[in-house]
Amino acid sequence: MAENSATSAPLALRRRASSRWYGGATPWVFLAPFLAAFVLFRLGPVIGGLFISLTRWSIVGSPTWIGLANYRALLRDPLFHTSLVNTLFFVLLTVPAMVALSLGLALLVNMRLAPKIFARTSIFLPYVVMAAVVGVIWNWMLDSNFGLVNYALNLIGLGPFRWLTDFNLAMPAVAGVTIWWTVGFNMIIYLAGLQDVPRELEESAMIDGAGGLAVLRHVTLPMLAPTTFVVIMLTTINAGQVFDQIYVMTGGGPGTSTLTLVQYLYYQAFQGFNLGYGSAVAYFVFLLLAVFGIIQLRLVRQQVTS
Amino acid sequence: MTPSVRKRSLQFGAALLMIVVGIVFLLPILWMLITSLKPEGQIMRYPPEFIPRQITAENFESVFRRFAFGRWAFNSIVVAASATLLVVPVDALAGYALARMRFPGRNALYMLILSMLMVPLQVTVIPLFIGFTEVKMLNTHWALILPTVGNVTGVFLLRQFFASLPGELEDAGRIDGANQFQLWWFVMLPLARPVMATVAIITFMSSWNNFLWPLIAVSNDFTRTLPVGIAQFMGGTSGASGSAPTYGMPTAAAAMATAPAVAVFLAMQRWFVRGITTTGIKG
Amino acid sequence: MKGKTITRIGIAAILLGALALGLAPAQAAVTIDFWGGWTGPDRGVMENLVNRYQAENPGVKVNLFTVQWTPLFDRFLTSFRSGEVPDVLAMHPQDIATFASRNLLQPVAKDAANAGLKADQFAQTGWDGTFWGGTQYAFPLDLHMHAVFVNLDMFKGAGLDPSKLPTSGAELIAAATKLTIDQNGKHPGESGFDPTKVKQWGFGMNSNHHGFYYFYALLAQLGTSFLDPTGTKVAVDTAKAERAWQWIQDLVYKHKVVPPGQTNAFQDWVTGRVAMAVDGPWQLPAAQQSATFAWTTTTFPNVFGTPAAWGSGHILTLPVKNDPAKRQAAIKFITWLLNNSAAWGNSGNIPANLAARQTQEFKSLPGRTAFVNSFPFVVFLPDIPKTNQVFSAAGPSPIVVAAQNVILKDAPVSQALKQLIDGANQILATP
Repeated sequence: MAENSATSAPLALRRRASSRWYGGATPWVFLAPFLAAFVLFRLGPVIGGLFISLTRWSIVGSPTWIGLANYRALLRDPLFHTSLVNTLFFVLLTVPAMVALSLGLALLVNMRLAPKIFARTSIFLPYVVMAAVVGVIWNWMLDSNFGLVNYALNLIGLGPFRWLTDFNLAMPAVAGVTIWWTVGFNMIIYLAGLQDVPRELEESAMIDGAGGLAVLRHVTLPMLAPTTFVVIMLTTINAGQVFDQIYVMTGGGPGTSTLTLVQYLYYQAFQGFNLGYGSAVAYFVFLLLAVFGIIQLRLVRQQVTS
Repeated sequence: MTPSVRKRSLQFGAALLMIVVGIVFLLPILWMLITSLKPEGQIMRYPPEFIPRQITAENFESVFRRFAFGRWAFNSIVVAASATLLVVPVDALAGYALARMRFPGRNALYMLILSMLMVPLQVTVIPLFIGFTEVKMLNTHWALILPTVGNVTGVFLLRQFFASLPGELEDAGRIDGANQFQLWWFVMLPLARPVMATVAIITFMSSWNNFLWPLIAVSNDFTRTLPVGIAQFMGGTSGASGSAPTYGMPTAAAAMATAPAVAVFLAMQRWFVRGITTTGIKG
Repeated sequence: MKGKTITRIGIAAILLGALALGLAPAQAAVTIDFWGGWTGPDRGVMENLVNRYQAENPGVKVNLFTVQWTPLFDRFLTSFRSGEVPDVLAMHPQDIATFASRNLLQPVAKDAANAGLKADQFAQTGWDGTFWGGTQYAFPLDLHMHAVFVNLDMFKGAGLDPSKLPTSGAELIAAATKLTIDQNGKHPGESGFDPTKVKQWGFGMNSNHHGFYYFYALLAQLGTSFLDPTGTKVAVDTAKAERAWQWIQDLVYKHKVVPPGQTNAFQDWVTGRVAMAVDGPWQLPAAQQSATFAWTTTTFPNVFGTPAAWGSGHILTLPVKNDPAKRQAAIKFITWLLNNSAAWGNSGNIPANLAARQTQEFKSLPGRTAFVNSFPFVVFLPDIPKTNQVFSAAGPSPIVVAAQNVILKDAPVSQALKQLIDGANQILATP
């Protein structure tokens, strides 16, 4: 068990807490409300979806049991392969940038300066906007011929770029919009984590002569490690399931260059009325992200023990 | 340069950066707002007109006159607020148990809960729909509130937070004779304010912007929420359905629809305060 | 926890306030649920018609619900499980098979006859489009098809005669070439023409599913059809199909009259970036409202000798439901709508009711002539149970991918065609 230092030791020396053993009902009482909702409205429907993925069904009428046929067909489906590759590409484009940027922004807007509330709110504000509206705004701003972005770039002699109609630019364009749209979400997770980094600690380090960057590296970042873990997990899980902004901006196009896994799910299930086949895609996504999650957990455990 | 001058100029630089970054993020939304104030016929212009030639309230007025916008907003507020008020304590309880109590099956349960984050929600829509149909609870606010309570992100955030706290916090309380619930309420929760604020914000936004489930679960204006209501005049890509897109009304509706969510964010801001919580715990 | 208390009080106040105000709306004698996919200015026009009907028929409430067609149809399918099926559902002629083959629509021939609606009152294409497998499943509201929007100011500016609008493919290319002007005043084909510095383009077209629709029309012009008569596999003449795609592609890459990477042809036209654009009549309200120049419309070009243009229409169906009172009310509403469809012309769509087109109200609307003239050569998509999958307007459907490969990427036409045929056949083959 991890030792717990005496209460007078500075918090920097605190280790992972030991948890006490509880037999009996107490943990379950604490868990009951969440578990009830979880089983009824999350686990249950997910199992229902799994069942649907083993059938052929078009919403009306009764499902026809076909076992693993959907999964076998998916493995041979070139569109599925494309969507897998595209999703991985999207994850690579967005996750590292998002994690780094949200950390940087959180550090920036945590400073005790006058514009802090303005900055925080502005960076978070995009997250509040509905996907459909994000699509309306950005489709317009990124238009090849009359969009605001190309207009501005034209003023400094660049472009025009075919943001949404060039097979190579579309995914980066969507990734860029995604970062604008959701970096605020990650920023506030970091902000919450930053509140736990006691100011005295940073200040005492600075009094000891450490420069700002050193404080960051040796005090703040290590204390933010649990938060970083959360941000990486959530950002990757969300990126792996990206759908809304693809749907409203490119629909998977041009061609299939922005076709992602969930976009393909939606296309099959809700546009092709092929509910079983589309649902099978979801469970592949689950497998993919589960593998990622296990890898990340192993890495974290390694870091902690080293 | 003296240290205080250097510090001052760094602070000035940081403040300037904050403002610039803020404006950059806001630009598309400002563009949306400006568009909503233009008459429809003047929106499609090239070069783009940042300063409108003419300002009008007709788009906003149209939204209210032709649609039950007020009703949708009310529904969205009720649903999102109720979901948030339920989720925060429920997830705090569950997160605490998963982090600080050891019991048989705990790790397996936590893995199971986390794994649900990895399943795209779109597949749950039809099973949920069938379930709510069976118990005849479609078209109710509860149908829109309850599924959000099954969301996992909040439990994840709170569990990670509680797990990172030192053990002596509770030991001190236990020595004083507190039971588990009192420990949770008096010792743990006050420390968790920033994380709870985050969970509140995330839950509110998730409920506020939900589209696919409310589209299917609700079929009348009486219970309809904003995203579905607004979709009635939100055209797709040009002529995709044989309908031309309009810009004035969707941007006006969107501008109004974001206001309550922004208010919630501003209200939760005050909980992103450090120092109060950790320095208070001594001895 | 002050924040929480304030929030709680606020919510309680809102709830109480709403209880006072938001009681359930007063019940009308009959309520009709009317669903359609109109989300643009056309929705406003339908709202006006609905309000007029309610004013003339007190005691009847018509609930109009609109959302884009794909979520609309999803919702329609789920409504059969929840028992909240709409009374009137709008759709297109090519959608009938999807729903009728699942026994979700009621035959309406008898009702039409009883309501006094006869084939000779409507445009033949419109009336015929309400049948599937010999049974009539819908009432024809309107037709819409492709035509070309023309900026007359630019036309005159380029020295072209506005009374001689292009009607053939060759005329179109010739006009568009004169209308494509780079910053030095050069046209495509002249030495010194710089396609990266064009300030005005001659022609605009969409690269989404409408790109496929241009191809589809050209197939009809060449005398071949995409599917075989049973509608179960692709049976197009590949040589002709390649000619059709090539003609479209050449507009961008050979004749250089279309801006490469164009996202939105109509908006490029209405903002004055492009002199001509092909689109449907649903854009007419936007043209009337936003164009700052003189404009008109001309028919879709006759490229290969026989005129043909892609088209579709809005039709009104009666989903299967067991409520005779509502059914009668719905039929009464639909009949009224058809007989008063001149006002629907404001949405841009062309009423299928012939009498409506003769009214002053309709005739005074600008730009409709080319569309009306297109009626004789409109071609619909095939109406098969899998139309929404094979010819899906969304996502990576084979028709969209093909159009984008041809128009946005200058891909070899034979390759794009092969992908299209394989993709369509695959969808048709799966059970």
